[in-house]
Amino acid sequence: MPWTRTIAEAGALLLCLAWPARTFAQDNAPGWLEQSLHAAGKMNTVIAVVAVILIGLLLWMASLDRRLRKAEKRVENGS
Amino acid sequence: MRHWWKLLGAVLVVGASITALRVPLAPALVHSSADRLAPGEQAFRITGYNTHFDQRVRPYVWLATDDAKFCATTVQVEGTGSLSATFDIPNGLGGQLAHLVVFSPTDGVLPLYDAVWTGDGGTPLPDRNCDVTPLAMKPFDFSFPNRSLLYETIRNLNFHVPMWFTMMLLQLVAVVYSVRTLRSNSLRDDDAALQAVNVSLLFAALGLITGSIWARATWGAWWTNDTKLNGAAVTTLIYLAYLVLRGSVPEPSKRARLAAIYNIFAFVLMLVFVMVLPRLTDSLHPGNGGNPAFSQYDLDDQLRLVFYPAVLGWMLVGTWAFTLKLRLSRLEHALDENDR
Repeated sequence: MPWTRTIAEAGALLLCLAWPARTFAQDNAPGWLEQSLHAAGKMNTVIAVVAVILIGLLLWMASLDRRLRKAEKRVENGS
Repeated sequence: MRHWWKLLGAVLVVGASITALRVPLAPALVHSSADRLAPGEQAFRITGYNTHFDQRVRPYVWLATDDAKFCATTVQVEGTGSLSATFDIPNGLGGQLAHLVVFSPTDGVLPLYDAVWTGDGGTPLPDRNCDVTPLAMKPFDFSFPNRSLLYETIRNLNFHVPMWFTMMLLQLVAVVYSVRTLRSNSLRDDDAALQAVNVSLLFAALGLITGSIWARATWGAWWTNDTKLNGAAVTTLIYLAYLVLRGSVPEPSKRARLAAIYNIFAFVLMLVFVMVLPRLTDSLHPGNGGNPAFSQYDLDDQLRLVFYPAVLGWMLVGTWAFTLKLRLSRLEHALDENDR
């Protein structure tokens, strides 16, 4: 699936672009991240953690899907 | 029903996840408007979290040191999560840290530890008893421990930690297949070890990312140079190197033997880096040197009741993922054989 690859690459690119800004940012006042992570008794942190696990499993399933499709194609062509 | 364990895994993960998100935190005090005593009449505004203060069942408020209990003269409930307590503070107090304690029949005894500095004088806090004998038992209520700093993130225990347990289980499975590879010289066993390591790396990645988010919310940094964190990162790198090592040996049976031996060492190193070294030095991470695990907060086992099913469920789901990957790999190998 080419689109999963595109999404992964776009994500990696965004991460690379955001990284230096984060490293040099001054953390004096609580930024948007603190405000959001600490909101509602830090409940948003839990939401983020659960979301990461779901996204990770879904990406893993997408990669499995890609390999399975390749194998299916080989079965179709070979037999 | 040969596949009952997959259903069990799914049911446990879904059930434990919903419970982990739904169970309320136990009531606790989170803030006091004053943190030092001043002579004269002094009002404290006390904020609770998930508390159920109620004027009809009068709450009591006192300051506590090891030897004294100094009660508030009046307590006014402002809302279910807020009350105001007025103390009559004598002159000359000082030199102690006191806990602020609220007893409310609806929530039990709620301490805010070391909340108040008694001042710069030298007289210890006197006894001014209000003759309340708090019930030893808090009213029963299925709830998670409410810890300052952690607050709601204590729920992450049921998501972040099972990732690591599942990773370890899969790496144990990989070691078993590696030992079998050395005895049998079978490429099938070698492939099973490889697929177990592959899936274990998925769980390691999830463990690292979820841990990093939790660290940002609790310690204020995505990463700290902590033995537990670095140990987990080094472990992941060791297993990535296993894949690199395999990629660099073209001859299959040689690759199988080499990878099997490396994998056994990798497992031992994982145990040392994740389980042993962090316990020998100071660590921020709970359950390691100088830092207790969450079990000590979990006095009535309510966190455990969700955590253990979550761990078992994730382990079963991880095993399921491993069998899927293994079956796909065997299918691909069968196709390769056909092509030849």
